This record gives sequence, C-alpha cells and structure tokens, in this order.
Amino acid sequence: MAAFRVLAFGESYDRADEYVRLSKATIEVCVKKLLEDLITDYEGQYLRQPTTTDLKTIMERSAARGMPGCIGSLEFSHWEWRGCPKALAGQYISRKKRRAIVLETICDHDLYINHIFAGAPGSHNDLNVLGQSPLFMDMMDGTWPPKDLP
Amino acid sequence: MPYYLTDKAYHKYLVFLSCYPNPTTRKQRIVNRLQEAMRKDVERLYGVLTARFYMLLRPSRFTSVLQMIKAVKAMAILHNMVVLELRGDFLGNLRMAAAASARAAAGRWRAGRAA
Repeated sequence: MAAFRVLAFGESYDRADEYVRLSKATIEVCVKKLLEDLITDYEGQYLRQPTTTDLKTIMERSAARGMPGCIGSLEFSHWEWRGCPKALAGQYISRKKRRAIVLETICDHDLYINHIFAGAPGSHNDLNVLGQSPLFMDMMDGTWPPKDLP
Repeated sequence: MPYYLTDKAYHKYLVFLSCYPNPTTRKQRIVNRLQEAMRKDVERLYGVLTARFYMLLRPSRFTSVLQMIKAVKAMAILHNMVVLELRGDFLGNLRMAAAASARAAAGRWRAGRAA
C-alpha cells in the first residue's frame, strides 16, 4: 500500500514512518519489489504488442471518426531525474536545462498505451529517440505494422 | 496501410501522418482538421498519466535509469488496467454517454450526487 502511495502521490519514502513506523528502507525495498512484480506478472497481459484483432478494432473506431487506417498516436515526454549522477549530467541534460529521461508512447482513443519506450537521455530530441526505439527498428525491418491489415 | 498520428517533426514516412504545414487546397484542409481533431484527444495522455501517478510530475529520486524504466513500465501497466476496467466496448461507450446526457438533462445527476 505504501508503495502504491509512492507511485500515485509521489510521497517520499520516509513519509509512512510518521504514522505507521515503516522505515524508509522498507518502503524503498517495497517499491522496487512492486515494480518488478508488476512487470513480471502483467507485462505480457497489459503491455504486449497489439494483435491484428486489436489493430482492427482501433482502425474501426478511427474510421468512425473519419480517419480510416489510423492505429494510434505517437507522443514524447520528459521525466525529470533528480537522482542523476554527476558523471551522467551532461548526457541527460534536456533542452530545458534540467536532467531528464525521454518517454516515448503510442496510445489509442481510450489512452490505452500500446507501446512504451523509456530511458533515452534527455539531451536527445524526439527524432533521435525515435531512431533508437525498438518500434522504429521494426518499422525499418518491415515487420511492423503487420502487412495483412486492409 | 495503417499509420500513426504524429506532429510535424518526424520523418516523412508512410507510417507517420502529420498535418500539412501550409494547407492550400480544400482536401488538405479537411485532412488537417480531421487529423488535429483526433490528435488533440490523445494529446492528453501525459496529463492523465501525471494525474494518476504524481510521481511522474516530480523529479524522480531513483538513482539508475533501469529503475526509472521499470517505474514507467509499471505505471503504464497499471494505467492500462484502469483503462480496460473503465471502458466498455465502442457501442457501450456511446450508450453510456447517451444515458449520462439524459440524466443531466433531467437534472437527476446532481440530486443523485447529493444523496
């Protein structure tokens, strides 16, 4: 629960110490375990590559809004990184002069995230990040998007 | 050929559809209108994500990139769970919207909230 509060409210690790005496170190371990468990248990279910059926549903919905063939929207954002080591500061400094990493996502109409790629240094612009993302490599190989779609 | 919506900064590839920077013909203007109408809806993803996970809005205190990647992935998974829970099928959404507007018109919505 405390780990979820860290994610959802951005609480510091030692916040829960005040009233339930869970120490900073305990919550830090909890957060790390929570993240790992979520990824190992649910990544295959909730963050998999969309299947042809999924894509067809998305395309139907797009067609209803006048854009047949659209399978999502590509977006980039930065996440600031306060704990950045001094050695990496030059690489991770973004155009806003803050240290950050770049997130790349593709989402559909319901903001369901179909693809997420994070971890590129903040000094890269969107095109650089796109160039190193696995999705774009698949596009260059011709394996994505699937060819059997209308 | 399926494609993704983007803004103007990206490659001119078949899989990326951005709007025309200087639309001149009527066709181009129509494409622009539809593209922008669709894209403005999905532009709010990061707004929704940061509202759900306040952690994303503040500078993170993790000390390694790997931890941050894990955090982002886990957040995306949780977010997807919520989305799947909240959305019905396409027609279901339409029906829900119709019902909501009917309730609002009848003025029963506020009364229900108060009770």
